[in-house]
Amino acid sequence: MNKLLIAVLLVGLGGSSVVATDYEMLTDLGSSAETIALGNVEGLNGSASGIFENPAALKSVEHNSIGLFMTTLMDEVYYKNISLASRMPVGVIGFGYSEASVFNIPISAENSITNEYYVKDYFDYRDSLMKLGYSVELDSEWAIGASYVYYLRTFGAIKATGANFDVGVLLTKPNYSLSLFARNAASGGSVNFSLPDGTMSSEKLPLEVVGSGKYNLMDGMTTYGQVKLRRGSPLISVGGKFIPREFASLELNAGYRQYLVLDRVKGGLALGVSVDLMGIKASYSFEKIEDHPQYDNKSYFSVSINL
Amino acid sequence: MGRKKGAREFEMWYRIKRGFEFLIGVLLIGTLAAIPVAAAQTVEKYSFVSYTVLNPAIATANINTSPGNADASFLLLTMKWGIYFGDGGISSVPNPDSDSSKAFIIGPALFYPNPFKQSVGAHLGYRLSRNADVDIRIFDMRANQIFKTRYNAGVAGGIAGYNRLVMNRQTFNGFELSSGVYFFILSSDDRVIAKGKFVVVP
Repeated sequence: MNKLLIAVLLVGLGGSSVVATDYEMLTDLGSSAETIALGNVEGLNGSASGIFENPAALKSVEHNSIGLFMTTLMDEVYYKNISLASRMPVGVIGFGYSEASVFNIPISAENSITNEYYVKDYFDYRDSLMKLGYSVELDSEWAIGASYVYYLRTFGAIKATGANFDVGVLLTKPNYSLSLFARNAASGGSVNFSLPDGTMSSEKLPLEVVGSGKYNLMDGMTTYGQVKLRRGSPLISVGGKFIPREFASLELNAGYRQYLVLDRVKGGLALGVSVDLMGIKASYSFEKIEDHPQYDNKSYFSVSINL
Repeated sequence: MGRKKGAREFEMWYRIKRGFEFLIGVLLIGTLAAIPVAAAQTVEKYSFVSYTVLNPAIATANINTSPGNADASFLLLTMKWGIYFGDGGISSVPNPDSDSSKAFIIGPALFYPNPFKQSVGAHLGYRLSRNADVDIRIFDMRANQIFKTRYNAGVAGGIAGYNRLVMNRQTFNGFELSSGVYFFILSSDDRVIAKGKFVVVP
């Protein structure tokens, strides 16, 4: 098993060179409101939306699971994802689709008389990814997983496609769990753009190596931690979940995460609440937006159904 | 033997039942999820104004000089009635207030060309009603602020008339932006006077 961990790390670290520009990853936002509220600690998700994180985490799906997530940022960017997972005799198979859309982006032109710019037309922007993943349990504690990822972006006459895969391993103990996975594990993978003038261009799919864990501190309280390597920068996330004894279906979540904005590491707090009723969990989380004159927060909603 | 067969049948029916429940759940949740998304997209489609209008007379003159704007006549008609419909694609800040002593943007604030390659660069153009300090902020698709600067009154970016600012790699301290949509906001005296979006291609 140690060899397996080393293999995952090597695959991950093999291509961790710094590049000028990376493909913007949809998964940076977070796969569910609950995950975001926990500081975006990934890889320990117990539902179908784990497909967007560590594919090995799909092993937590007991029978069938579905996950839905949506948010709108700045009244402009529409994020949504859907994930499905089902336990088969050979393991757990999952599928995920995630999308971000922006509508009515102006195509500008210059007035030859006034030299001022005007709107000639509009186009829409759609960024999506599809994942097909598989997780298998090696024994009662260890699970491994892999997922194939297909990237598709369309805007105006421009289309971009690419593919890569994620690999991961998960260790589950009674009091704690550890997750390690590599996103875009095939180093050198890129997304290729077909431009209207017939030329091609590309952006590198950024490799991420994510190690995370959760620990049951006491009855009703769980702590989360994560280190994510991105562009050579270690990004820290921490989170905590509290389940009041009197309301066992209620979960209160809080977290802090670091993230990259251009080449700077920034950090932000998140708060959230989940209600789990008979296998249907509805979650809400909240983050602040810094220095925006019109919007001061981001709100996320997600639902997961575990049957 | 009979008991085993009964147990198998029970398990089979149980699995069918669970599968059926799962499908119903998927349909139900899918429908519920589609409602707010559809509503949000409808609101976006018919969102409030595309043009920054404080003084309709000035805006009218500006719109008339914009060839290819098929919506102009409709926009002028709706402006007369004080109703400003548009599709939200460009500067979308309706009358911030009626104090004419404060600066405002006439017509759209636009990146040209759009989309553009950052290595080639683009210009941000807008017509300012008077000399004023103008703050420009740019946000990425996750609402992270990636750029903020102030153009002082009387110099490029804060001059009465048409301002044209260069936006290229140097603007972002040499950092090459990932391809995607970015959102800009122009403000003056803590009032948003215009906003819009642009797309960077690799």
